[in-house]
Amino acid sequence: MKDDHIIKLIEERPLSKLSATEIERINAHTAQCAECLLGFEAAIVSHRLLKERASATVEPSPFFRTRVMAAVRERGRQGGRERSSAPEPFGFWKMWQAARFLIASMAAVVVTLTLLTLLTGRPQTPSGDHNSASSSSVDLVFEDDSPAIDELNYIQVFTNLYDQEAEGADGNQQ
Amino acid sequence: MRRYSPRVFQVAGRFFRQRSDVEDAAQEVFLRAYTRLADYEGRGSLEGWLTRVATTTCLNLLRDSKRRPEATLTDLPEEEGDWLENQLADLSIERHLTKESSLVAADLADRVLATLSPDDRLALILLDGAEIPIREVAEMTGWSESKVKTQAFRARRRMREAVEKLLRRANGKEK
Repeated sequence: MKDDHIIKLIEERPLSKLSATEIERINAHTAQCAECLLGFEAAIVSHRLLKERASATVEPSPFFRTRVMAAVRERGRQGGRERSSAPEPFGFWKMWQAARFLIASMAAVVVTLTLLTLLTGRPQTPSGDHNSASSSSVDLVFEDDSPAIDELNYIQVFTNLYDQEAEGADGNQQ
Repeated sequence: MRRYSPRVFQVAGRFFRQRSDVEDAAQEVFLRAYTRLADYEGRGSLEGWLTRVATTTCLNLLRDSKRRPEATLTDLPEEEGDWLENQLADLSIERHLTKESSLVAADLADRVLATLSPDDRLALILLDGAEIPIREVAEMTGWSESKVKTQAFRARRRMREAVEKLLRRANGKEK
């Protein structure tokens, strides 16, 4: 049966973590299933390869420390050069630090002027002012009408001229 | 540095096989630790923090190197083919190998692991090779424990399939 295949079992955990019961089950199954036998053989070989690979060690050479210290110094110099050549980043806080006294004094001046204007600069208006204002408005209205008067005069002049010409024409005809 | 070099070389040695590669990786680990020392908050041990820096640095280096064309398992050297055939004579899970045989096995392991992704490789070496508990691997890599388990499960399958091909070839079964 497919469910009895042991492939999943050997992939779930490292082979060294399998229990004796599980190993027995695997052996019983692989005795009958060639496909799983190959898989189990491959899993065992993989396990041995990985064990050998993980146990392989490399010792540092005698010059390793000198080499790393030189690299660290070089990295430090590079970092210093990068820091010194890099432009200062724009920041609101830095701008505020530089200009806070100027901004604060300007704000104080504006507030003082506003207060002074409110307290002393209020305009004094006499009681008859409303009438004079009204009359000036009427004047303006009449001034606006003056072209109408001129227009009327122009029409009257035009009419008179027309009448004179008409009388002249009549006289000539007569 | 003298105090922590063995630990850093142990971690780097699990990722890289050639001495020059291991030393380059170890140097990069120390450089990174030097520039990020401010990140160490003093909660755990310095060695634990350095192990994590070493693991992530080596994994990144391995990922960069894996941007090259994928490695494939071509014809094995004779001693590695012989080693594979000998393994099938004894299917006990734990088996003591001679020093020479261990070297051949480590070379062959590296060849097989080169066909896998860096994450697969890391999960297999740490969990199955070095037998480090899942929780510790999660701390070293910064992965969740469930990710470590899933990664290891998939990696075992891929490695088993790669070794199956080698075994078929060694047995002359592959057509």
